[in-house]
Formats: sequence, structure tokens, C-alpha cells
Amino acid sequence: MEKEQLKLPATVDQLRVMREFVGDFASGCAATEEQLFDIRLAVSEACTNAIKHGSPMGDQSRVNISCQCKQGYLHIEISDEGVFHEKVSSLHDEMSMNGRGILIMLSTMDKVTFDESNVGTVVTMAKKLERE
Amino acid sequence: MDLKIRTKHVDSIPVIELEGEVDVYTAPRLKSRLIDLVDQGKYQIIVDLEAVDFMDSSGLGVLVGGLKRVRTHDGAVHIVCTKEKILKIFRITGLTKVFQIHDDQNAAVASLAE
Repeated sequence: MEKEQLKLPATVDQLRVMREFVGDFASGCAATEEQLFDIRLAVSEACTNAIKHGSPMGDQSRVNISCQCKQGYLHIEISDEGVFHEKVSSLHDEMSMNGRGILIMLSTMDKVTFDESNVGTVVTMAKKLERE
Repeated sequence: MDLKIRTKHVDSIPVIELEGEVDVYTAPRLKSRLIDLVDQGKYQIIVDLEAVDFMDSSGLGVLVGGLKRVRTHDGAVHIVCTKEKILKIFRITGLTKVFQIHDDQNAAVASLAE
């Protein structure tokens, strides 16, 4: 399946469009309902971080999303324009108001990597698509 | 789908019924509703997630924030949810140990009335 890409303003009102773009693509790759929920969830978390921490120019900043189905895996890449040092929270404090996003991404996807540079952060995720 | 928020009272206990999707865009409205109730002196609150199709960590953060507010008044926030995909998010983040989660509103009301 061909790679598909989407570029949107880094604003919270676009978040649903971002996760549905990947969800619809994954649906076309024959992901199950459970897999689709996991994928939308992980994308929502990654894009929320991109919007909150990776948009130095506010709504002038952009979030880039690309996805591809390859060899039984859905590959997703989400890039922003900010420098955000990702921290994997161990959540020792369950009453924390935030810090759960990366834990959720790691729990719902098979592979998650964060590449940080001075021009932005790239989150790469992969999910094995197996029919149940 | 956007987020619909409906508040009703059962035995004077406020029940916030959510329908739709809870993310960083919609969660502030839930936060406002929780703060309003606390400001009205309501410290025992039920949040019904049965009609929620999607929720991410932004929604969880707001629920934890609400719980922290009511706990300063010896209150509690109880959750109603039987949807496996939503419960999974609570399990991943360890919040099943923080919130009491019930199968229906009657069970939540009975628990808070104890």
C-alpha cells in the first residue's frame, strides 16, 4: 500500500482529524477494531505532544503525519517543529495530572522511537497487524 | 464526534454522563464541569463513561485533577464504565487502583451512599 501523508496546523482542534487520518488508513490495512483503537490512541498521544510541545510558532507550526503498511506492520511517523525531551514516565505518582502519554504509546504499539533534533521531534511507531 | 456532557443528580449525587470523544480539545469542558460541581460543594461525583467512544491521557488527567480537588474535602470521584477499550487505558496507567470503577450508575450511587 502506498505511503500517505498529512500536514496540519499544530492546533488542538485538528487532533481528531490527525488520529482519524491514521485510523482510516489502518482500517484499509485490515486492522482489527482493537488494533484500530490502540492506533488512534497512540497517535492521539503523539500528536498531543507535538501540538503542546512541538509548535514554537503556535498555529503557524505544522504537524506532519505519514503512514504506510509494509510487511504486516503499520508504520507511522509524526514530526513536529519543536524540541521536546521525551521522558518515559514510570508513573510512580499515579495522581500526576500528566505524563501518561508516552506510557500509553509504549503499551499500545509494538515499536516506538523518539528522534530529537534542533529542528523538531520525530516519533516513529509500528504496529503489527494480525487478524484475530 | 464531539463531546456531549450531561449532568443529572441521583439521590443528590451528581452524575456526569459523557458521550463522544475526550481528548486535549474536549477535556477542558469536562474539567470546567468538575470544577463547577466542587465549587457548588459537591464532593461525591460519578462520571459515567459508558457512551465514550474514545479517551486519551488528557481525559485521564482531568479525571485525576477532579479527584484531587474532591479529596481535599474528603470526597470521591467514582467511574461507571464497562467498555473494555476504555478500561484498558485505566489499567495501562495504573488508575484502576486510584478510581473505583462500577458496572452501572446504581452500583456507583450505592457505593458512594455507604
